[in-house]
Amino acid sequence: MSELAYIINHTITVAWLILAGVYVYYAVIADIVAVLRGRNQHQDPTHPKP
Amino acid sequence: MDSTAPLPSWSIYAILIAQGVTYALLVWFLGRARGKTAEGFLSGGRDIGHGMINASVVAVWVWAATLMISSWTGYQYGFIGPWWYALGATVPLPIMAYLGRRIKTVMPKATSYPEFMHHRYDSKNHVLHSMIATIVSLWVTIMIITGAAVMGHAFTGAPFWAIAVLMVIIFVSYIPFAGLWASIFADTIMSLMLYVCITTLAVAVIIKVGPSEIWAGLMDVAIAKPVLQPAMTVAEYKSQWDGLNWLNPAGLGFLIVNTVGNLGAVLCNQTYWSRVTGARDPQTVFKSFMTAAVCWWPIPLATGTALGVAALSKGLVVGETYTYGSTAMLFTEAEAVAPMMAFLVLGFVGLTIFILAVGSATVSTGAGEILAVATVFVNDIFRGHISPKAKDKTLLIASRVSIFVIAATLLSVVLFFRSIGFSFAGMYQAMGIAFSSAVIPVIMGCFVPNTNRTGAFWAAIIGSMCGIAYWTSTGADLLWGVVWGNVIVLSVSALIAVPWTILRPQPFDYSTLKDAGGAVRE
Repeated sequence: MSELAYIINHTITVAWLILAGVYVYYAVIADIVAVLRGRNQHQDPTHPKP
Repeated sequence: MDSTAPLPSWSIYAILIAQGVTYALLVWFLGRARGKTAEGFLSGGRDIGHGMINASVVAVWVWAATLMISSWTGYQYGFIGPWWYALGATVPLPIMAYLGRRIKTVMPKATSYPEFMHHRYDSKNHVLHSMIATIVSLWVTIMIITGAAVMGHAFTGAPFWAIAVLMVIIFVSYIPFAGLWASIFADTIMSLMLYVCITTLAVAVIIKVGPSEIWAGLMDVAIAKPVLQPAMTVAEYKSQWDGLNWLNPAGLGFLIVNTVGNLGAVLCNQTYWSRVTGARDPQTVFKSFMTAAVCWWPIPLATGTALGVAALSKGLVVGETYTYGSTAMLFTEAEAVAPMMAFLVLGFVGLTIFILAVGSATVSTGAGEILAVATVFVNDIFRGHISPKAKDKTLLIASRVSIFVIAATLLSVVLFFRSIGFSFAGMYQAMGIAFSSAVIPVIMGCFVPNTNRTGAFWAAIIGSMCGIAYWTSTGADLLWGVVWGNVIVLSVSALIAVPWTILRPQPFDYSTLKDAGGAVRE
């Protein structure tokens, strides 16, 4: 394996980890926002609880 | 402070206690309402969204071994080791996505996978899978407590028993408040923490060592052929000298072991089925397990590359002492290459980050596994066979009590094994050989309406017996014996269940499962 190929391999591993971490954070925050919106809607008389 | 314990003993206590107190307080404030009924306690409310399920699956599938052994594969097989490790361990997650979506669709009220087996097959399959689910979870927990306590002792000098006791206390410190929801919620926090820890270490290796220097080091190893692990055989040396070859044969063998062994560890493990139970709907299950596979893969891949391959390129020798600044640390065994390299890159900070990551991985998995055993006990054994008419309050008490009883039993077993010097070498591979035979019956039960119930039952048992018999006949060989053992166990299971089903089909109507579940009754 050439030096360039190894550098690409190593970079992919770290870049993939960072992207995965960003996605996990994004999905958790989206979940929290959805829960908070749902809760607010339940409290809002214009959006009665079904 | 001796040279083998570079961190003070209080550091491991502080890391563990801080985590336990944080999770207990947060769960009590945010989720205790979920623990007011047995249904809420065991099912998590069945309304948890994609973000938490995704993060939870990632957290429970990251064990201490994920970080330690992936790095060992990098040290042992070179750059391809972490790729094979990650690929083999990721395969069960997409399969679980399809199985989970299927069960969530056909039997939305299922609480445990043995419960599905009961309604889909019969009582004998229910008992068999209840036993398998219980043993798998208990065995996993014993291994992770022992592994984490050994590591904590090696790097902080704290007594083994103290770390094990503290760890088990933390497992049971927050799940009794809200059951499954508490477990998934704490997993989410641990998952977020894991990414920060591992990314920090991976980026630090790029900055302080760099891919070019690692490549040059691997070339040196390939040319000089140094003896890095004095206790190894010549065959094992050769795989370590081949660090830039993606067709490293020993690494390919590891891929087979890891793939087959992990199928049983996930598909026959109630911990993962609990995430299916807790999820909002079938689409959430499918999406969460699929994205968890993509998000989980880079964890062992980046850890193994950053710590294991880098250690190989530096030619670290097992048994030697290495220093960072004025502090020395003994490289005790090849499996401890990850913390060794973390120490060499960032000193105390690196080691602390690594212990924090392993602590998070251990707590999330341990708590999830204990709750899984309690779920099978209460849902399938207690409610299914001992007290079918038990009231909700009784089931809730039984759930909480069983968590403490299981935790105390596990702790006793861990301390007993330690006192007699029981070695866990090869036990993870043995678990794959023992239980992966149940994978075929589970998959057929989900998707093949004509599956023969008796065929499914004997496929799980005979497949396991054949695999164990072959492996023991090789003297429990951990190189190619375990590879063929894993192949045999899965093949025999399929060769029994499939022809039996073709010759004696037993049609099943999945629509009968729509209202099943919640209670196992004859």
